[in-house]
Amino acid sequence: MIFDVGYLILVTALLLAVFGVIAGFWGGRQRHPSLVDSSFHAVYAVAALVLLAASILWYGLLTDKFQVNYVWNHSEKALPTFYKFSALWGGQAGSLLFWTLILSVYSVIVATMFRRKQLGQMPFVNAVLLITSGFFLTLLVFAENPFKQSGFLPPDGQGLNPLLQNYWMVIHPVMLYTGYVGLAVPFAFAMGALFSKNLGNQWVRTVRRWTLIPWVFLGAGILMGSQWAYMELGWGGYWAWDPVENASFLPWLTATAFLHSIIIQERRGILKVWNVALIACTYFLVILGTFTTRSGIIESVHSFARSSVGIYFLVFLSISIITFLWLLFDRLPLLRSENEIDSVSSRESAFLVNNWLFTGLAFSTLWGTFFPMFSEILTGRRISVNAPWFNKVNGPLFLLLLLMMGVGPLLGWRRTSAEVMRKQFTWPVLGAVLFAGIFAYFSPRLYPTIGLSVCVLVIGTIIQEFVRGVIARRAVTNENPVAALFSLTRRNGQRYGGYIVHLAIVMIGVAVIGNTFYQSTTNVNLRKDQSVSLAGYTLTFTGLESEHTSNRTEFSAHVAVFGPKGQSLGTVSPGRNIYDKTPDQPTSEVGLRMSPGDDIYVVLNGWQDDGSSATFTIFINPLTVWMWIGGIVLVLGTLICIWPNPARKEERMPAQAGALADTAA
Amino acid sequence: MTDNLSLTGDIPTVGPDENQTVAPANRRVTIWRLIIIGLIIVFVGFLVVGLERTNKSDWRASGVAPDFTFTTFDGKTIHLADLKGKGVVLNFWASWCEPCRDEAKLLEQAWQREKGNNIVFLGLDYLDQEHAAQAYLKEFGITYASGPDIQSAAARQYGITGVPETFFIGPDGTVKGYLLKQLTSEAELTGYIDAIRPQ
Amino acid sequence: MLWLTIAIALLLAILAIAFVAWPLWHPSTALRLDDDSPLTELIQRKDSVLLSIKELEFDYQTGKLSSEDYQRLDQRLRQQAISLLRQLEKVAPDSIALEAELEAAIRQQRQTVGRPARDEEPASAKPTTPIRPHRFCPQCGAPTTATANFCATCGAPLHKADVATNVAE
Repeated sequence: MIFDVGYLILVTALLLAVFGVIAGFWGGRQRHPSLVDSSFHAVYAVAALVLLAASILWYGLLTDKFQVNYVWNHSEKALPTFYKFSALWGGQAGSLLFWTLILSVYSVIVATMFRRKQLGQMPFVNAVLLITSGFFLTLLVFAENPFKQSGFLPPDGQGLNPLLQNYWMVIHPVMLYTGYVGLAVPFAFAMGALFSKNLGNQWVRTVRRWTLIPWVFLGAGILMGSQWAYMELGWGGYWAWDPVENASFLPWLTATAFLHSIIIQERRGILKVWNVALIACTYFLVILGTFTTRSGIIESVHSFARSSVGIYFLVFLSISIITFLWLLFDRLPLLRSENEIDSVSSRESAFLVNNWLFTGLAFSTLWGTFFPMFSEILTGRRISVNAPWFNKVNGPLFLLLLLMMGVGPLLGWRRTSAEVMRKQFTWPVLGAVLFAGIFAYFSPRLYPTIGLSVCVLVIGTIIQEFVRGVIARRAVTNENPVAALFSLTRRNGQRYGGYIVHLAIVMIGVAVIGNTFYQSTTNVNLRKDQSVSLAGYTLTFTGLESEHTSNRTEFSAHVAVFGPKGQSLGTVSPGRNIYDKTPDQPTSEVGLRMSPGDDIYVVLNGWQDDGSSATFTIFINPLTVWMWIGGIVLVLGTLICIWPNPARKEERMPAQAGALADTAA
Repeated sequence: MTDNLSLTGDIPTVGPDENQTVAPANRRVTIWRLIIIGLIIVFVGFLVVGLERTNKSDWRASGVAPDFTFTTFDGKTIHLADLKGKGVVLNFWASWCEPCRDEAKLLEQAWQREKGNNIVFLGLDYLDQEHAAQAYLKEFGITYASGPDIQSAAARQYGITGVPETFFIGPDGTVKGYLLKQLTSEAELTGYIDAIRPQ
Repeated sequence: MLWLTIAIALLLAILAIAFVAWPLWHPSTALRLDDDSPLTELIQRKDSVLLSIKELEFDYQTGKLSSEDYQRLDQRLRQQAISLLRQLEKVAPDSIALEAELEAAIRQQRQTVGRPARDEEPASAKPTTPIRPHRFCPQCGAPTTATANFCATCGAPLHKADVATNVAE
């Protein structure tokens, strides 16, 4: 019964969302305070109802109500409670509900923070967010009802997909959804600005933080997904350019470009159309990405079951693109640039190049993702585009981006004179060239030398920026260097937090270069106490054991690792879990020993039951750990960016504006 | 989509009503609009066609039969791809489904008749509980390979909408026909089997 | 059972709808829907120019600009700021605040012509500490003249309370 109520709650939420959209648009246009107020209430009500619906499904999952098809298909009695909880986003219908829930939470936060501010555009922002919620509620009500019941009570469920029974896999989708869904907020503000013709720099300023938050969640989610692939899938890599990975990566690329280009708009009043278009593209890519993973239109390891939601997504995508373009073209006269780019050697032109590169990356990734489908439609043959293609096309683009990351911060706004250029570039370039020389002497390979030298250039730039900033600050304040560094970062969070994010990207870049060019691997069958050598390490198979836990049998092999000089480096234990419900889908537990230099990565492929011999795939992955450290630094840097500046109170402007408006009236 | 509008001086007058577009830029803007709209229409068009194909080809299995592996209740593992060269009758059923009970006898009789003719019967148990399924098999004396469709994997691939549904896969591994309701007569079943009989 | 289901669902729906419809019958007068006036935009533009002036100076200090470029650009930005302040004055003529701000800005410009200001972003500016030998803006920490009603750097109003404290000092 409660599940029927759950469905009816979703229906009510849909109706209220529709009403809220109408109230928002109409109230915003007519400047009708009660309607606008009502649109705020609609946001709250929809969120409360969605939360209630999600709680009902959680209740069903946690108490094993297998008469609900979703619970039956994605849970089982023996499943640990933690995974029962996370089964909410383990399947199609549940994850759509979860999507809606996160969007509702975002909408409520936005509505609460802007309850008394920027009311010219807020009704439209509410309406746009509610349209998105309403769309997902439509899916839940008409196509994928999570509360559908089978009419009888099965004694046990089918079990959660074993690949998802991993704690990374529990957090990863949450992070990813939080990032993905949150990108609807800046889009809603952009649309609010377009609708209300309030197209100055206000929305851009408001939106910066609201883009950074989902952006960092998305970035962390992508990295966690890589971590999961690395730890769990056991093929030695972390990124495969799989369509679903691309689906999450595409909006990240455009959002990153957006974060950079709004800085130019704030400073120089140019690229206004570009910014609106960029954030809209980000939103459309989010919808497109959700569409590709849900409709089965593209083959991928991640795809959910095929279902009828595809057509809904296409209709929604088309309508929103058409509305956006119509609105954009209508408002073009209000989006004129105020300035021109004065010189090539200026920071804004560096930002512009950075934007082209990001857009280029997004385009090539989009192309590669959809090309197999295009080719099938046009020629009847499915030409698959695989990882090497992406690496070949996107690799150089990433290298150029890294280069821009080293060059951009050294340039001044508008114009940089030759003398200043010399002053700024001497040390970083010298450092990079020196490094290139030394590195090429020890490892004479072209691409890694170029790549790592560019990384050194960027690091040099960042250090120089910090050092010069500290010197400039000390000249004014006479603080000690540490205090100066601290207050510099604190007071210019946007800039120096940004540099720390750059540092994180360099770390990830270093890990990618190490992995791409210096990975060594071997496939080996070892008898007990037999050894194998790889890249200076010696690995000895010492034994195998198995253990039965609640819903699976865990087999694990023990492999002792010895360093180049014969010193013991401990033991790694690669294993396989065989689940009772799905014995033909064993999952892999990678045996991993991480160190700053390289990872020893061992996969158990097969074994004799008596433990006398086993087959392993062994990888030595250089520098990989820097990818995960980079992820942590990325989050830290973003936090510095987001942290409110102590000197400049964030909300000063609207308050002052209000005061002045009062005076004027 | 570049910022292709003309530029004015450093400090523009502000106001929501200003509407002076710069004339020479107009043409370029129009062309850009057309290009953008065209590209989007083409892209969405491709998506529609792609979706249409996905739905047609895979929603209800047709053409090459989706491959699957399952383990029967008595522990044998069966892989569809291994059955190439034989006709396969693939029946989705469940112990809780009334129409399945009605057609169970017909299927078993046909299996007994066709056993020697290179025809294989497979029963995939959809969303069921094992002891009920075992009892069902015993009740109708079903002897052909039957097993649970774990996580409804095959059911999804074949796009079934309920049980019973029966697919007929030819010796070349393509779907030759399907029946989305219960079997009613022996003649009907024989008709379908004739279409997948190996030469 | 069916009736109970319908009853509970209906109850929830009515509650939710009542909540959403509430403002329609109890219009709130507190909502200001007009804060997107040209005035807000002008103020933001002004703030953005003032921010640029600060950034420019920082860039100069960290060596990203030659001193000629710095002076030229700084001059230009300050002219922009003044012109924006004049526009602001036109939009809101009653505001004495703006006049004062404009005056301060012009004065600041005269002072800085040909001489890069070195005194921005001063020390451990704890904006709320009132006891200080000189007067600083409580918002941005820039030094201000004793008689100014508004900060020349960020435009924040300077309160009489601060003045009193400083006089007492």
